Amino acid sequence: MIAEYAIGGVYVAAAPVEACMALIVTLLLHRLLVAGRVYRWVWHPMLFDTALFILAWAVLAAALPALLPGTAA
Amino acid sequence: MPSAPALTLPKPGLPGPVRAVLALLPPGGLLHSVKTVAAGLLALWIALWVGLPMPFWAMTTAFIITNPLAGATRSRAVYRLGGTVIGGAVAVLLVPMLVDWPELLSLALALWLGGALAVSLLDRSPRSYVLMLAGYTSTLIAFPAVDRPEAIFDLATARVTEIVLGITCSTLVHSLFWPRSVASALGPRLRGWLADARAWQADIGRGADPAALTRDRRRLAVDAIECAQLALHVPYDTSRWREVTGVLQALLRRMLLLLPVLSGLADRRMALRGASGAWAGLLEESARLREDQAGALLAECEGLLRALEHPAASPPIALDEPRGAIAFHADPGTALLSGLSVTVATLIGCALWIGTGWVDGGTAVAMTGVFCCLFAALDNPVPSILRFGVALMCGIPLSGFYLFAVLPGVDGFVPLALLLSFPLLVIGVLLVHPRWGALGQAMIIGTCSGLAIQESFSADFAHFLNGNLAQVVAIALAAGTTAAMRTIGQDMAVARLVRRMRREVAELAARGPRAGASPFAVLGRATDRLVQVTQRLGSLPLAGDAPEGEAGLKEVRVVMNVAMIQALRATAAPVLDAALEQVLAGIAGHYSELRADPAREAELLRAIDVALALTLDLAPPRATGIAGLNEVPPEQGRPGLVALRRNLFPAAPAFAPGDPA
Repeated sequence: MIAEYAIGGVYVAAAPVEACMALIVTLLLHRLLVAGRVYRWVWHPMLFDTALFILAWAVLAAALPALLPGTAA
Repeated sequence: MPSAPALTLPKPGLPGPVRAVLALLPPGGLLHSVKTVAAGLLALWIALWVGLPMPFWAMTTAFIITNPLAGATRSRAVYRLGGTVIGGAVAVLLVPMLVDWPELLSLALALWLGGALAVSLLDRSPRSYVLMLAGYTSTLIAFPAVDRPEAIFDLATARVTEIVLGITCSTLVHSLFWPRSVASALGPRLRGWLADARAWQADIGRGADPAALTRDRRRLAVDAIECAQLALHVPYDTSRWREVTGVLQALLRRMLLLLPVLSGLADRRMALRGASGAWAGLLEESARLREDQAGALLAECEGLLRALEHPAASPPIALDEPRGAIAFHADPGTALLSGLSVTVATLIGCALWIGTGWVDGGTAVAMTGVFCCLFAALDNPVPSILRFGVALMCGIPLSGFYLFAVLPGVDGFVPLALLLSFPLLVIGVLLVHPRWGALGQAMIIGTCSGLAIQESFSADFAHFLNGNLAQVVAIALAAGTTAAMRTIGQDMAVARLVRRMRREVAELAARGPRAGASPFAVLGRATDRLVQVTQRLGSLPLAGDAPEGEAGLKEVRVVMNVAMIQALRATAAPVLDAALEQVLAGIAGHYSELRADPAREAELLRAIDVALALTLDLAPPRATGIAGLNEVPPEQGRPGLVALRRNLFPAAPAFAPGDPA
């Protein structure tokens, strides 16, 4: 069974929803890192950002269902 | 930062004919082709794996948004996403509401398509893709689905999902593997531009023949506008330039300002040769002001470029200047006509479809809209529509061959990918070619949509034939309607541009800059129109004094002069104020009339001379860099008047302060 969220009564697959949230988290983190001038030390910024997104997605996918009991099946 | 490996492909070990073929390929073409095909196949694989209903949409998207510059791919990805979501939403809104009245639904969709296209054409930046795509996404979703309105939501969701998938795959592949940043393309162009501007400055200093410089300085304007267009992709770039877009915009604004400053300087220097007396002194003052401004601007430009290229360098100036974005020329009349013509084409298509009851008519109508939209920005879109259509058709036999001869024996994704990748890679090499790139892209899109790879493979010959017949009808309809309604010739287009340019100068002189509007908007539009004229005249020989030949740069300079005079007016004594008002009214009159009226010309010249005589006791001007247009110091009013006199009446006798008759 595919995990789903009920948003306004419509069931949406969990993976895209979590991906959208992860994208927002990644953008915020990216802004922070730019402000901190961290990218000077990064060899491949795009790879770094992609990895950051995957990490955020994995953390959200692992953590959210536990935090929201009953919404995810 | 990884960079694209140098493609020195002709290796000594290869046999001669192979080396000859490889030498013919556009540089970087193979790498770009591999990346694009990999992105497309990745999207196809995920779409088939997840079980999305129309997997080829995802794959086609990967080929549509591809661009050798990673930043341009990424910006197109964002715009395509936005356009698809808006278009899908409109389709979902309209179809269930109007499905019982097919005529009304057709009208609503046609109007939406035309309106979206018209508004998108008002924006000549890459951003306009959002609204144009929103228009034809609605028709692409809605028309083929009118007979099953209950499925419209699923269809729209499927399209959005697959386009997101295609965009994601394409963005990932192009950003992660040997990305070629916009900065790597823009940096050398900016450096070259500044070197050219320096050379021009040196030529003027040496007193080179100004007529010989005409073509070069037009080239500079074209390059400046092209850089400004390319810079719009920078916020999406893979390089660190996206973090310093403020610096880049400041540089581009100075580049735009340099053009009228340098050409004004050249003009003053030329006028000084034969001048004497008080007039020579005034010309000298104006020339010195322009010289100082040119020097300051060039130095600032070089400092800004250094700040862009070296992360450690800080910009030479405080970047707290007003952030007016560079505006481009827009032509509401042509935009409206284009919108109207796509609406009419869609309605004719709908009439044929509803009248004949042809099952695949919906596809034909939707494709008509796409063909009309894609090339609507051109003066004459018909040849491009036909070329694109023929290239699309060329993809059909290929997809037919695959669909009916090759694929029936194929099972599983890996053999499918291997079989598909061969022709796609070969055509994909063309993608980076400036001339054949768009046609290669059309051919791949034609192949992909011809294949329409379903999860359960179905080779339905009747469906295949009908779908492709729909494309032929669509091309004919789009080309026919466009040819009948909105094709204009080069000379007409130039005349329109000149007319709009004159009207804007007249408005500026009559009313001053609109409240809140940046003077850079006017300057940007004027320069852009100059570039548009230049590009259209490109192949024609430039007639020295032909209104179109000299038009443009002169208007750009007059825009600056008007700004200087208006700044002087703000602080002027009542007598001078009244004289300057006369001058501005005269300029407005001069530019709002199409034919020169000798009496009014003489009146304007007299008004300028009267104002000039009144300014003779004012303080001499200080040079300023960018502030030269943003907040003009009032003491630059006198050189402004001198420049205006030179720009409008280069042949008039020298100014004599004695008799302001």
